[in-house]
Amino acid sequence: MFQSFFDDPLIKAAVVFTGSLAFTALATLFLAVVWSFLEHLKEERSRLVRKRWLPVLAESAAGLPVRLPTLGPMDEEPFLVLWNHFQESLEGQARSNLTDLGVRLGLERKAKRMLRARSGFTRALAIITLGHLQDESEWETIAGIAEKNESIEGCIAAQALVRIDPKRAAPVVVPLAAKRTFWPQERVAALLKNLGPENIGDLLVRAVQEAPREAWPRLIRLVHLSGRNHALALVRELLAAEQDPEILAACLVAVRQLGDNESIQAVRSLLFHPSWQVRVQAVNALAVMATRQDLDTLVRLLSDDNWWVRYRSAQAIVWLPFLKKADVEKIRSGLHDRYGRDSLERSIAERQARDPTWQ
Amino acid sequence: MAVRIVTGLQYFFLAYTLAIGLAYLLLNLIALFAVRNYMGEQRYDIFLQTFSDFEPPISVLVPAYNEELTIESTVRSLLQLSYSNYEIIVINDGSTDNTLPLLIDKFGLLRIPESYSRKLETKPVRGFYLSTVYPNLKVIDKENGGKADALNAGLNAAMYPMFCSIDSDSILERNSLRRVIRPFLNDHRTVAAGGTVRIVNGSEVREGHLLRAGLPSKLLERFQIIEYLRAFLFGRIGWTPINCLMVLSGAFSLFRKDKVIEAGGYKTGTVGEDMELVVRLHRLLRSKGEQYRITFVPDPICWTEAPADLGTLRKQRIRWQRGLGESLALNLGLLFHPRGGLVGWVAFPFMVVFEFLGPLVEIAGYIFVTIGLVLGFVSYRIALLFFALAVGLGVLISVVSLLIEEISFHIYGEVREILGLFIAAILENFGYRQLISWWRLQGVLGSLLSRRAEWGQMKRLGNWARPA
Repeated sequence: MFQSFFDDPLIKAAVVFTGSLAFTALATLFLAVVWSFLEHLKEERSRLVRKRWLPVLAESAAGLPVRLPTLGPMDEEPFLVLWNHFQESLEGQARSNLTDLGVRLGLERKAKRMLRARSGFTRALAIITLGHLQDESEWETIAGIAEKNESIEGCIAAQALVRIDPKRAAPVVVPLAAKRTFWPQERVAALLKNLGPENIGDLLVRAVQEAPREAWPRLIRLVHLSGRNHALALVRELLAAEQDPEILAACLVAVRQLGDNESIQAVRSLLFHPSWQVRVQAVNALAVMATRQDLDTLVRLLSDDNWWVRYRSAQAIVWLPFLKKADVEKIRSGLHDRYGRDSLERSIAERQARDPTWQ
Repeated sequence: MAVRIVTGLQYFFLAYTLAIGLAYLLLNLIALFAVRNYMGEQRYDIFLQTFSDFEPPISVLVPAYNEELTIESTVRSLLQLSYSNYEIIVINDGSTDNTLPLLIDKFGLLRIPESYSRKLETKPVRGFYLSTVYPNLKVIDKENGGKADALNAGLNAAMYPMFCSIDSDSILERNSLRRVIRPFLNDHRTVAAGGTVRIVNGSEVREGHLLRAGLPSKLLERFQIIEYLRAFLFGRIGWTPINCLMVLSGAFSLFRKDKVIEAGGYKTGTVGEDMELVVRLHRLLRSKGEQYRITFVPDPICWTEAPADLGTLRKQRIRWQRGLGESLALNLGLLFHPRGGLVGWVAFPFMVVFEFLGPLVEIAGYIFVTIGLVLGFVSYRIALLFFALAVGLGVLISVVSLLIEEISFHIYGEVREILGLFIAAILENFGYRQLISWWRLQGVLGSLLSRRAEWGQMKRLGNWARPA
């Protein structure tokens, strides 16, 4: 009976199918358990490395004499992750003590070996280690990775170059930062900040001028990192010549960041620009440099068509250092435009909530 | 003729069961590669310095309706998020309990004159409050209009270019905003990103933050974890590489505000306002031929409570299915639209055929095969093959999901936990899945009858919200 049951092709198909599925499911479960076990081992090794090396790193950073435990080949990767983490979180003498420890442990040699590894992560770890050790011997290799590799590994290489020698890195890194539009802006900003204005000089301004126009707004937002003088020269020039609302708005943000009081005339000329984005940024810029003569304009802007312009104007008015609460209340009671009055009332209440002593 | 119909139906149900199983298996396999890539990239993160001044500011919108049990803890945990510039806007949608007085009392709220840009129509706003203690906390008190209406009111008041909608019972990781903003920083075309929402039942939570992930003891909750891994996590990640993701959880998603306002905000009167918005964004951006990305952050960065009883689970699943139906019906123009791309030609039909009509076909299949077997018009051979397919593929997909979970996030890492989930993956095929399909079928019918939407309130234990 069983023989004829299993002779049926459909039954056979169902049994084979179920059997294969059951086998695959069990094999997958086995894989999951094995994987979990391996992960567990890896975590355990990392934990042991942390336990053994954390006190050593802490004492070493504090400049205390330490006895070095042995660094086995299996412990190299988790140790380097830890050492680089410490490097990132320290400054000054503590960081340099940690670098000395790295030299004592021969990290330079290990990192150079790892630089040729197949795993991208291992290579990145090597690059970042050489950066922290300020080892120049692999400069060309790392610069090559920064220039050729458009992915995140390129960004890591650029970061390492900046650490090794910011002055030498600037001509390599600044054009890359301008060109690689897909590198997240907050990371590019961190690169430029670490380079320092003294090394960036006019490189960023030149990079802006050479970049396609659509990249300008993004780059103008970074330009303050190249130092006040270089940034101001570019921003003032653009404010005088540009028509593009996006570029103008970016320049106005830079004016506010740089606190450039000398651009006040240019800012005033943009307060009634057809684009509301430009008007808002002009009001924001004016807010930090306005004089008594700007008060009437700010009050006029309380009747702007755009809510943001009205709100930012109201905020600018309530925070003007030369106005008392009573002065602002008087302005409010004199307003005929309902929307402007609403904006000013809200801003008064907001200032009161933030600063209960405001009189 | 009748024989032909019966035979045809038998093969139809077999083919459908095979197709849906293989489709999910394929999505899970795509997810495997996508997650591996993602995890690889994340490893580099520890070495990359960032300059937080350049993080775009975010408005966090928290719609709340009768949330007096959890709202304080939620707001306190949101105030501790690690992000450089964000505001929290709680929208009290006409709660009838103490939600608003509690917020006023605990956070020193001060009523301020209402003035904001009303780009979206909402029910009247009754008051606008600002915290005197936490400068980035605001509360809007409005008349009851449903979750979508509350979110629209929050959108009107949001000051920043990005907004994050979260459920008031969501438990966020401290770095969740930093994680969910990443797709926007990496690709300027990104208009929306969903955060992964995980089940918190069985985990240890203190003061609104997760301390340790764990497995719940109840089988019903374990079933939901398996179901979650299979369909809601890896099933969705599978759609991301081809930019076909149609569902982002309302519990934690980040959007570009200008794009959402341009699309008309959240649609009121629907039960699945989060999904409807995402499908509408696809439809509108596709029809304009705009370059865009809707993406998913696979890290477990948001945790939420899963229903612990059948009654609540039933309501939840009916509501979800209705939401799906409404989202598809309201954006039918995307289906096979000439500019619809893979979303219009692959993901949308998939959603209609497998996700929306799936329960109908599945339940019909079970009834047809069972009755046929009893009455003799379906042979035991066909019945055996049908159940082997339905159960076997279900188990396989669940176990593959479990493997991906271990390879990637490794949340349930103990062998005991893996085995517990494996057993749940087998057992859920005998009753639970069919029950869920039955409830989803009720949801299908509900969406066809289109009853009015209301707040999808869930019976919560809220254990995690209690003070330590």
